[in-house]
Amino acid sequence: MENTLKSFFEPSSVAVIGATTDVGKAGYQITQNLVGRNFTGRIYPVNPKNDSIFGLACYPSLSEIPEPVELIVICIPAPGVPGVFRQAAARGDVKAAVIVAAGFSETRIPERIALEEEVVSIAKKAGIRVFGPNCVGVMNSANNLDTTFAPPRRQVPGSMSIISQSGSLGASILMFAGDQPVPIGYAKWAHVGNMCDVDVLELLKYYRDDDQTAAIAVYMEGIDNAREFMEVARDVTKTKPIITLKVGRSDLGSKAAASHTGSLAGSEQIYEGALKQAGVVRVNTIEELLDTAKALSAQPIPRGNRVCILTEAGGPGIIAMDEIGLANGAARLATLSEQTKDKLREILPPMAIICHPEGYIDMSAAANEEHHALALDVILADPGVDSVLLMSVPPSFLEPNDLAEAVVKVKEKYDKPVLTCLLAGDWVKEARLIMENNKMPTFDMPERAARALINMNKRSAYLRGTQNERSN
Amino acid sequence: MNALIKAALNRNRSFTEPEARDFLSAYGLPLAGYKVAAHAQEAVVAAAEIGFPVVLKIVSPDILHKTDAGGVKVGIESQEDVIAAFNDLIANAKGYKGDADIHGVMVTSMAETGLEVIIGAVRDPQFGPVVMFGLGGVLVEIFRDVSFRVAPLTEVDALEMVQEIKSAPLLKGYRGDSPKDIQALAQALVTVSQVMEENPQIKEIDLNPVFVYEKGIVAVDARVIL
Repeated sequence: MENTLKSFFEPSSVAVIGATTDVGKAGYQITQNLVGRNFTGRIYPVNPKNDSIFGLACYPSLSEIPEPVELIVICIPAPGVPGVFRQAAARGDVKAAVIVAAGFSETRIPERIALEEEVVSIAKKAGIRVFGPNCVGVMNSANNLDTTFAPPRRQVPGSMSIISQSGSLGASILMFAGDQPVPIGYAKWAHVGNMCDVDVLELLKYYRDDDQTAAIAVYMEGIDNAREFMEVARDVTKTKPIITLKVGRSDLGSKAAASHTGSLAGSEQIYEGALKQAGVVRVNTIEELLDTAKALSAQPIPRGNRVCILTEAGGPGIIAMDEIGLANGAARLATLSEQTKDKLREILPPMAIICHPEGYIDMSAAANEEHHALALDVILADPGVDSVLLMSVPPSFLEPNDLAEAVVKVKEKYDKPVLTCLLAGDWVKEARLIMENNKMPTFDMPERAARALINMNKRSAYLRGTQNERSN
Repeated sequence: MNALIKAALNRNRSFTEPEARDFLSAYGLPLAGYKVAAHAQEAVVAAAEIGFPVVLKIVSPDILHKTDAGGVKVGIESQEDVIAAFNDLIANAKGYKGDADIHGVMVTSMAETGLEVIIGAVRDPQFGPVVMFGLGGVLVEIFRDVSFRVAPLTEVDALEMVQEIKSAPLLKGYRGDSPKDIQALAQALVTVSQVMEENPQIKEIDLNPVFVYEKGIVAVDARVIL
């Protein structure tokens, strides 16, 4: 199964079956997304009613495109889809198909199920891989491929890849990501709909082997082949983090059962255990999904769970401390060495509060960029510290860019994760960019930074358990 | 297929408690020995051999929820009480279900009270065999303080599931109380996982309660649903 999905994400050419100038139709938006985002491959609109669409030559049928076609995106009504596949099979060059059209097995109507089976059978014989039906397909930030009809949004390259079991939610995750004060980028994105061929498991494996992907974010509603999922997830999480927003938490599922155990075994409880067992980091919100993926894709994994909070302001520091305190031991405040504390007393302004409580340093608003940098240096050098939450609300007399440049220089000397929260809106926007461009993830709220760090610690704990004790 | 399972399935029923004890004990799960008495006098002899105090439980494949049927008597201290309890249990069972198939009365030792936990397993339609751990006793279904893992379990999985319930501090020695034998619990969870993996005919297992001590654990009740 080498690179079997490559033709979906890196096709040299895409034909849009059902491309149209009718603004109200999916075929219009899909073509516009491909053209408007400057997809780097060739685009062939197909529609017998048009000669050209968006300035591109339009072909009456797939059969009549004179050049090679690697990927087809099908946005005509369901009954016409088998015909398109027959043409694709006859051409012999089509490797992959995204069926946007709905109205197949998801309707549970026997004729519609049969229609899907017909498509699968033609595709299989012809060696064409299929996304969907009833899906919006793929996006790839590296070549600007976008087979979806999602509304315009910022296209930011990054190293997190997404699998979504909801097309529209999946797209809005990217919109939310792109609209962050420092936009969160992505590498690849996929929505597989009915999964008549390509499924979530195959995508997980593809992302595992994809050089552009450092972390995998999954929006999950449910899985059919649960045991196989666990096997694949276990394997993937050995090398890359999987972060999932699994919905359906409120399901208590107390079905009639003869045992106590049976009455307590709701699907939610079992998912919770199974995801942990497979090393999947589970999150509660879209925000946490993105923050965690961002942190995990840009930072080394902490070696242990000892966190030092280094803050310039009390409030944000305490909010972060609350999160650490509520993390059920996934993270805890570090114990600094006496030597480190002595150095901090030397370096920091006299009003700084050092290690009250242990592992918490409030540098005070008198701290300038040098104080930030020197303190960070001393703390990162302490072997009792595994990771740092750096928080600052730069006052008017502290130039944010100078601060950013000073801490970036320190951070790059160490192989420990530092998550930073700068809380001053537009005042720190540029400073955050400087940090982000130097592999220092920033967050606009202390609880977001803290939760992302806690989730990094969960992954670290899993990996350490895996390395030491897990047999498989 | 295991002979005990085969025999029960041939009769189209689940295990009685003695059968469940025999079956699970063979895997090394900690369950006390017992005798099944057909008559009050046999129960007296059994109680004397086992040593007072003892517990008497009705044995009938038709009575799954023994407590509901007045089918359990605990803390029996004397021969006279054994006879009275035996007769009560039989009468209660007949009153609960007139045509119940009664195999006799099980006599077993009264375990020293420990921290009560529950160990169980079910087959989930998606995940297959899953193992459960939780704080046991009568509050289990109110607090639902339980954790699950999918079989097969590693020891790491088992230790994690023991330590992730909210009541875990109770196991670690809360307020001067002694720390409990978490290792023995983890071992039992791994064994239950193995039982589920090796016997696809078993639908559900309940060990509830399991008493946890500073050293060792004892399951006081065992239920195996086929």
